[in-house]
Amino acid sequence: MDARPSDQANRDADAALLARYAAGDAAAARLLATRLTPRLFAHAFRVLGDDAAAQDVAQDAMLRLWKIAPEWRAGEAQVSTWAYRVVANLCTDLLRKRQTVALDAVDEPIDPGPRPEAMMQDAARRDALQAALDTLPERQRQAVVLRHLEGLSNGEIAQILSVGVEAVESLTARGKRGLSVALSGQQAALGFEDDR
Amino acid sequence: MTDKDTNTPSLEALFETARATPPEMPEGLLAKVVADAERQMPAAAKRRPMSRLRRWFETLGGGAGVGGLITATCVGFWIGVAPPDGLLAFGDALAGTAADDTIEIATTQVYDNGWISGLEEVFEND
Repeated sequence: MDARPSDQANRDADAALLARYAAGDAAAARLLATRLTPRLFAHAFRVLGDDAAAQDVAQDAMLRLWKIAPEWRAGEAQVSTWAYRVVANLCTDLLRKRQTVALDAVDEPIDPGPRPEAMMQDAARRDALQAALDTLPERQRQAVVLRHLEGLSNGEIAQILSVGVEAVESLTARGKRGLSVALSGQQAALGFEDDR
Repeated sequence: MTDKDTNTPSLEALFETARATPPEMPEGLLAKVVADAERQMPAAAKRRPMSRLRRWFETLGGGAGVGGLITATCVGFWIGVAPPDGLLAFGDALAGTAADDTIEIATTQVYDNGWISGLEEVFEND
């Protein structure tokens, strides 16, 4: 396994880059954007299940980071945690707006038809997981995405979602049970062999 | 890998696949984020390219350094135009081009002017 910089080193690097940006270093901004934007987009996409909305959320979150840079005080918070929190809140707002849309205004889902035989197994599994995530309540979905897909600790997730660590553990446990229910009966379709 | 009781694909296997194949960032998103950064960069912190004259000025120590150079230049010019009494003869003495009897006179004059002390003793000991 390749050696990766420690989490602390990454956090220090993000804070240092943000400070350099605030002092006028455009190169620092490009580097920090490269480090954070893919992760924020992935988080938003997995929570929203919508590519265009995820782009807007990721861009909006980074814009807020640029605006707050001159006031950022190192050591008080992690840059990535702050950015994830902005994405989580923006996603929450969008999902709540979707829920207020009248049911009769929602278009009937388009039948995708039979899956092409050439579909990659990984893509099929990824799509199945995303579809299952879409069935979860918003907070459970956020917790599962941040914990099991973004790889964040329960402590960081607690800061992002503004809840306690115990609440994070409860959300992820319930979320995983919900995913299992949504995915039941799909083992063959996703290429998993029957162990029985 | 399955959960035998529920015939459900293993969540961990699906998580692993999803982690290994994160959503691809759309083309152009990074460029938009960087453009936003440049627009939002604090105006006071934007670096201005330095002219050659300014770089020379900063190398010499800024205002204080250049001011000191100007002062030293003026003093040196003034000394050359109107040297204190005995300074020229003292210079000859140091260079070894003056007659012996002028040495004491020159050093005394320079000493009395407060420029150098103790050198009279040095010459007497030679």
